[in-house]
Amino acid sequence: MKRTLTLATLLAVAAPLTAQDLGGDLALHKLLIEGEQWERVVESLGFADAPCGDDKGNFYYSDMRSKEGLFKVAPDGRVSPLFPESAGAQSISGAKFGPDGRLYCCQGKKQRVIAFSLPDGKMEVLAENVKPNDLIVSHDGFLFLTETPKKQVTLVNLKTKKVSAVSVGVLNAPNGLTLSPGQDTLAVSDYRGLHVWTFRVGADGKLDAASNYMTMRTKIKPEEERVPVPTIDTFSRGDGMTMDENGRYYVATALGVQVFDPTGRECGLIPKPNDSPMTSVFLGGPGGNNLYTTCKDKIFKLKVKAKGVLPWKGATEVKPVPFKR
Amino acid sequence: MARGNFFERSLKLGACLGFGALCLGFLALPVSAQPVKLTPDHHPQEGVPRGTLTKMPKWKSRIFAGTERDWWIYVPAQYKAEKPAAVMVFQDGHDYARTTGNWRVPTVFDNLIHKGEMPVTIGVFINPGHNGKYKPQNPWRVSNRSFEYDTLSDQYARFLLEEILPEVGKKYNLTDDPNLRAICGASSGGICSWTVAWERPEAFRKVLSTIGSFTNIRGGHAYPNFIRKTQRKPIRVWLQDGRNDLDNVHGSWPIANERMAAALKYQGYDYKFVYTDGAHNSNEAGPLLPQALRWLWRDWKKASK
Repeated sequence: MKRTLTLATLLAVAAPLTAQDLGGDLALHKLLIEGEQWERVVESLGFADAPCGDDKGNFYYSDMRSKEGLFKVAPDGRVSPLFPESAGAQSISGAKFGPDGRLYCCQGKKQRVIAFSLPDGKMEVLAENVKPNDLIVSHDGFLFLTETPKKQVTLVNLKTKKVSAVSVGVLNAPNGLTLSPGQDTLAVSDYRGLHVWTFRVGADGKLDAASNYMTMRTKIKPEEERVPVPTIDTFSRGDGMTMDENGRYYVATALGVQVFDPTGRECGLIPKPNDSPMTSVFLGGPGGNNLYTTCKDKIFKLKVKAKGVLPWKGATEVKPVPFKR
Repeated sequence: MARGNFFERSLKLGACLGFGALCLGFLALPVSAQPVKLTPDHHPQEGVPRGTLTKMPKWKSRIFAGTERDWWIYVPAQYKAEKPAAVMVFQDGHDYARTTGNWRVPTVFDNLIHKGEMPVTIGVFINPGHNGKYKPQNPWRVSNRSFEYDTLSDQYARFLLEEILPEVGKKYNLTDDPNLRAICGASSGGICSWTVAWERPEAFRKVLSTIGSFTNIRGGHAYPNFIRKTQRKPIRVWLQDGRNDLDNVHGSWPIANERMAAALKYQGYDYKFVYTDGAHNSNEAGPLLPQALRWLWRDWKKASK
């Protein structure tokens, strides 16, 4: 009798919770806008990467084969070089703003991490003899960067200027990275693996609790052998990442932009705009709701029903997505 | 299960006829013995110009290395070289190209094109490849069929786009408007047609699948999940399956097709699912072909502008 009662009470409590939980599922419908398609932002680039944005609706990218390096797309769509050639912003593969308003950049060719102040383009070198691929900067001044060939995530503490390895050998090829809105979780994509990994960010910027939290869909490989099941690619080509204020994670992959909810479940796939490799993704620009992707010689954007977050502006609470049937 | 459905169906038929004794007579017949009723569109009509069907030399594939296959091209009488023609590719082409059987595509095309219910369309009828030494008499049993049709990769789409359509294009003026390119197949040919459009929606946007094998032969059961969790692709699809279709080690065909239909509905696709009583054959889909084609091509004039 007692047991029955307990069960009944449990069910009574659990049922509405479950309904709420399922209602909160972040299906693609809650992200995509009917009729919106990939729209070309810029084309005829050498090699596009490092998409990022500020809080004024400006969008920035790197053309790794151009002489000026970094470019700005104003909210009205006008494109201009960010700095003159002499500023030294060439071959940037990852860039994000930091809490001091400077633009932090990975310059693998010169094996260093650098920062530019705007608009004068004054440069400071923050770390040398590193192999940086991409980076993210928290409001507390933790700069995390991936050193892909070393299978390493590296921390540059902007207050102490100390450089230290915070994850070694966990991912096959750590590549893109982003922070949760609360900045207590760091997500890192594995280019030569199936997962986006997450880490807990400690008060000192150290990482622990590594978890293969999100499983990416990969290409089905054409095979010469007559195998009974499809052979899937074990390399996701997981690359640049971004996030939104609802806590969704976005990662550029071989198939397109893959989106995950805050609990790591797959929301869905937004296929690539063309056949070129997609190297990175950024949510921002005017209104904060343009999903930019860098695809080799072109950059595209897609308007969505979500807003990006600017981690350098401060940690935020995850905003719930309105329940809709 | 199948028996119950059969009873139910027979009872409905009996009620329609209002004839008890005849009803008992129907009960004694197996489902497949029911005569297939084709439509007037399946038969040559007076005053309708007839297109030509040409058997092509055996095709040796580069993408499916070591295979060769039979294929045919249908060209409608209305085709004019200066105007790009629409294209429709049929998997297991031998079954669709013949003037007997349940499909009779060249005749159906003649009639529908004449009435303006579909565009001037070149039909490509292509068989799966064979790579063994001794080619079986039965074209359904060639060695490479399941590999080419049931695999979820873009390999078969590339085969069509890089080998077959360019070859047809040498002689005929084909459109490259994806809205005027359709693809059709039955069973594994059905899932194959879907896979081509799924992998290359910029090349094919109209799919006709009957008794489609969206089951786990080579992973095809994953499609409903992919569809629900992928931004909608601009594909229009007509699906048919029968409640007495296969249920075997690979899965249940009726349930698999229902799952496809539910996923297409969820994601807002332009789709139609026709659920019939039949089994793993074309007895019900064949007579529905003109109807399916009218639905697929319903706004072709707008598409071709």
